[in-house]
Parts: sequence; structure tokens; C-alpha cells
Amino acid sequence: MSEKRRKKSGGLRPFVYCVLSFFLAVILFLLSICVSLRVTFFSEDYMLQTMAEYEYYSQLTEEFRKQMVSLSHASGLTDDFTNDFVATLDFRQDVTEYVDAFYSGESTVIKTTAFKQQFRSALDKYVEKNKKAGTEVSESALEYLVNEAADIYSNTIEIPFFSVGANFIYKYNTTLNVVMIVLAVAGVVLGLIMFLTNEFRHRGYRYLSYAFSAAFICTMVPPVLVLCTGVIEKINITTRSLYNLFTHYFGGIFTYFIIFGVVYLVAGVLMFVMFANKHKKLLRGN
Amino acid sequence: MHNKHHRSSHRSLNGKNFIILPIAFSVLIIGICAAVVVPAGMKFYDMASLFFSDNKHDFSEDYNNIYVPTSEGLEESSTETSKAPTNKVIPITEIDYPHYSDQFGELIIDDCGIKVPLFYGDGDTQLNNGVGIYTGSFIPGYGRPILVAGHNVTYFNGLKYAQKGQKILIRTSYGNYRYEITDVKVRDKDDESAYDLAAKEETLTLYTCYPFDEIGLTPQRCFVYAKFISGPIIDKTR
Repeated sequence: MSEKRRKKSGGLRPFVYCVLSFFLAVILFLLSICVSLRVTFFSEDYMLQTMAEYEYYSQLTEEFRKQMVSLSHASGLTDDFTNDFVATLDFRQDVTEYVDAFYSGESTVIKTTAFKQQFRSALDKYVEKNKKAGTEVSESALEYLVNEAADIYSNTIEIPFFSVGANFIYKYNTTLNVVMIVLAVAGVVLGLIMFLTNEFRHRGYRYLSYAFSAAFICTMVPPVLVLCTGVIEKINITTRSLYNLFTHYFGGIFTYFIIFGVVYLVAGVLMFVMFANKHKKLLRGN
Repeated sequence: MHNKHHRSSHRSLNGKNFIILPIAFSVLIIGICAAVVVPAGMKFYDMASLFFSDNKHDFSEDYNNIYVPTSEGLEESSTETSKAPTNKVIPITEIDYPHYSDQFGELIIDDCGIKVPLFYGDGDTQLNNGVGIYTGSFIPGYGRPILVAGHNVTYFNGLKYAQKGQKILIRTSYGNYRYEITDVKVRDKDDESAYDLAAKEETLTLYTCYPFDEIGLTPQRCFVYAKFISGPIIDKTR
């Protein structure tokens, strides 16, 4: 190689590796987004786990009980009857069925037939025990009450905008998996190119360190922004159960970003240490 | 050549590139992401404001009680027929205007055995603790219709005794208001002619589920209509 050509390639090569390093940072950043979404937003287990962990079912039951007490104050029922009836309900099972249906792409209509039967049966017993002598209880009034209670039940279980998100998840689930694999393969190939095509190994470590450090900064930006603005906590949801679910659900997604950020930081520092060691060895060798 | 290479690598070890380049890369990546996401996100910006509020939510079910009874204008009993009442004018700025869910007064109908806390708002918390003014209507003294809801099993159970001519007293921190029942009607809950919130005069409408004391729910509501008799007038311009 002539001196002139060597000089030219010597100036161009660092630039090319910097560009490759930049693309590797992009790939790592995108991969962290995809994996974070895969294990959270696209995962039914994550939704059910968040619900269980943050006492969603008990909060839901309490909110339903309060609404039913209000309904009972307009329909001649005692608080005791309402409290006893609500204690027989299993919201965990009903919510799980509802979430299952969404993630498997089935119908999202909340079935209230069993609830209606259960409530009607309890109501009939109550009427038999408490109706005033000589008075008839209107069948239509009871039916109306059962339907109102079923509406409250259905609204309590329903998660707003969930149907929109679940359709999206169902549609793009496979695509996301493919994108993740492509990104992972591209990342490995790019890393190997940067590492193996360098005459001196320490240079490979240096460019990998740039990429991991940049990916660390990018990955940390969304959670830091969210934490600083407190935007998740200001989400406009009127019930405590849904508010807690949404804040922890979205908070969890950003936790994965932070985990990725830490992994990239550790990898970046490791690459830097490797670079420094190899470089020192090279200097000693000369 | 080798010496040159060593010097250049040594410069890199000094660390500047290990800070500057990652920062430059990340600025570029975030800039590209912003350039892609922001234009698309702008379409949803207005919609997003619906999903977020300015403050963190408070789910406490405690309510604020701003009611401090005043005896001014209480000389005549609520069951007495009114003499010629004098209506004092108070500037709106002097009123502790209630916020949603505040208990700001008391509603009394002696003939019906009703003496209940009055709230601003008619949600579950308010109706489980008293009766509530629908926030789409107005507060006493405002010179516009007032719509008050209550449950028929609890606080408004006494409305079953309501009759034309009976007196209603609403006590607030800024004055005491008297009304006289003009009519009692049972109507459908969806009957839009049951009340007119756009009216330009002060009227009081109380309503609850109907029939009273029966098990079950019907679409019927008992409406009690009353006209304004006396009480301080709120001056909205001051």
C-alpha cells in the first residue's frame, strides 16, 4: 500500500467505524424499545401480574361495592344485603377472562348473564324476607334494578381503551417478534464487523464502547423525561383501581428501559476497560 | 507510522471521544426520533390533553365542609308564611364559592322531617352523605334554577310527605334562603320537560327515585318544585 493510500484509508477508516458505531447504537436503542414492549405491553402475563401485585381486584371489588351501596339507597335495599352479595363475587376470575379474551383476539363483550342470575337469586330471597305485608313488588322494578347492577358490574370490569390497544397487540405481535430477531442479528453482525475487521482489537472495543454508551443515554431519556415531568401520575382516570393499574403498568415499561440502560452502561464501561487494557498491552509490547 | 498510531490511540485513551461521541450519537438518534414522532404526535396532542390533568389525582373520599351557619335572615320560621322579605345583595367575591364535593349548606323541610347536609355535586360520595346540587345548575342566590338530587331510601325519604305550600329552607355560610313548594310530580327520568336549567329566574327543584320504600328500581322520579321567596342575592358583577 502506498503511503498516500494508507494516509487516505487511515483518515476514512475511523469515520466509517464511527458511522457503524452510530448504527449499532440505533439498533441497540430500538432493540431495547422492542424488548421492553414485548415483555410488557404485548404480554398478557405482565398485565395480570401488575393487576395481582397492586391489589387491583380488591380495589375493584371495593369500588363496585360502593356503587352498589349507592344503587341500594335508591332501590330499598339495605347496605348489609349489598355487602353480603358483593362478598360472593370473584372479580379476579371475571377480569382474567376479560383480559384473556382480548389477548387471544376473541370477543370483548363482558358476559353478565351469570352475574344477573346470581344477583336476581339473592334479590328474590331478600324480597321474600323483607317485602311489606299486602304489597306487591313490581317485576319490572326488580328487572330494572338487576340490569342497572349488571351495567355497573360490566363498567367496573371494563378497562377503557383496552380494546384499541389489544387489537393492536393482536395484529402486531408476530411483526414485533420478527423485528426483534432482525435487530438482534443486525446488532451482532455489526458488532462482529467492527470487532473483527479492526487490525488492532482495542479499536473494536473502543467503537463498541461508543455504541453502548450512546445506547445507554438514549435508553435513559424516556424514563428520565417521564420521571421529571411526572406525566404518568397526572393521567386522567377517575377510579383509584384503574389509576393504580395504569400508573404501575406504564411505570413498569419504563423500568425495563432503565434496566436496559444499566446493561448498556455496564457493557460500555466494560468495553472501555477492555480497550484500555489492550491498549496498554500494545504499548508495552512496543 | 507505528509511533503515529500509538500517539493517536493514546489521545483516545485520554477519554474525550468516549464522552463526546456517545453524546453526539444520542443527540442525533433522539433528534431523528423526535423528527419522526413529533409531527405524528401533534395530531394527538389535543386529544392527549384529555387524558392528562394538571395535577395528581386525589382519590380521597373525604369532603370539605365549608358550611358555617349564619343566623342572618332566620327570624321567621321556615313553616311561617313569608312577610314582605328584604333581599340583601352580596358581591360574588365575598362568597366562599363551593368546589365540587364541598358541603356548603343544609337543606331543611320541617313538614317532611328533612334536615340534611347540602353538597355541591351529586356523585356517589355526596349522595351517600347528604343531598347534592347538580353542578350544571346554580347555587342559591344566583338567580337561576337549582337542581338538587338525593336518595329516596336515605336523605330524601321524607319527600314522600311533600305538599304544595310547604316551606323549604336552605342555609349556607353566605345566607339563608326560603322557598315555597309549588308542585309535586312524578315523571320519567328521561323527561326533559321535568326542569329547565336555562330559565332566568331562581327556582328550586328537588328530585329522588320513585316510588318510595319499595324494593326495586324504576325509571320514575319524584320532582318537588319550589319558588324563591327570600335570601341574599348574589351580585355577579362585583
